[in-house]
Amino acid sequence: MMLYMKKLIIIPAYNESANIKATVENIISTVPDFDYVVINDHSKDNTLDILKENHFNYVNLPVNLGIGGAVQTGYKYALEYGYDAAVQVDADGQHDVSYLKNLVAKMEQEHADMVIGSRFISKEGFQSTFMRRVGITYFTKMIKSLTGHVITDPTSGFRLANRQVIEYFSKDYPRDYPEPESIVYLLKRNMKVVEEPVMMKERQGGVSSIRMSSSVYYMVKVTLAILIESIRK
Amino acid sequence: MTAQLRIILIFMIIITGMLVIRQIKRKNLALKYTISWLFLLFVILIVSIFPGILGWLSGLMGIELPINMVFFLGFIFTLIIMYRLTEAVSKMSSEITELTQKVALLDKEIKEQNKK
Repeated sequence: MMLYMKKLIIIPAYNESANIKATVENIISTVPDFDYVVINDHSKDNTLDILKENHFNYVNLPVNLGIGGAVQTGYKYALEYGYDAAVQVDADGQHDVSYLKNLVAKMEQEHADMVIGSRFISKEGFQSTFMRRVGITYFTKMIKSLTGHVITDPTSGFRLANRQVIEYFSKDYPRDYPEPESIVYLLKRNMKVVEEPVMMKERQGGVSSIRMSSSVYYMVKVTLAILIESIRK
Repeated sequence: MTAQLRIILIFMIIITGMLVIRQIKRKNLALKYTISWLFLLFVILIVSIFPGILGWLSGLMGIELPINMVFFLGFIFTLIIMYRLTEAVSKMSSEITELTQKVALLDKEIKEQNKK
């Protein structure tokens, strides 16, 4: 039984001219059963020109919103065009779309509301840097103590959401570093969040949205956001 | 408060008040966000004209030097104004996000319509 007929891949792109063409072409050839939309987050390079030249399906933000605002635009798009499920795939090629069928299968088997592609279940592929893993473990422990759920990869952006979650995220999605916070938001609303092992590649180009200079801000902001999210009702 | 300080204060308030009102008239400042500034100016003006109020209030709050009371009040006022601005900026920021997304999605829809 196919529960999820219309599926959308959301590709947030900020200054991704080096990767965007390869990423989208790979998606079109690898997972033809998914539609895709690129959200160009007001890139300063010629990402927009590449999207136009290749006649890719894209939404162009007139103002830079940051990763959260861009991804949320994708969820709003999914809601507007009636998609049953939406998944975020990064433009830099670190998410391997051949895993998408596993994510969908998992969602169908478990009747899950969101399936997170986790790097840390099979512990294969690019495992991130040591410092980041320390941060990720900290968030895993924090989410466990606040909600009782174990999420091994709370910072993974490679996540498949069903219609209910698409609706929630369209209404309310954190502006920056959205992943861990939005998991707590869903768990508090009794959404079923499960994980599926995936391998990730090291980014092909471009820069991470988390730089060293902002990592302290990142830890503090996400910690506070999770705490506030967990006392919200 | 010495007479010199009072004169300087009154002089500064008149200049600042005139600047603020001129900017409001030119619509460079929204009255909504300027009322707290005008109120602050008004309070300083009253205190400069009747410094007795300050002495009385300082005595009441256990502050020895009335001039410290001026600093204290100024500080509290500034904090309130800054807090209100942070609130306004947060609200605007989420409104801009909302609008940007709406514009982008509408733009997409129009382009799709035109293709057909």
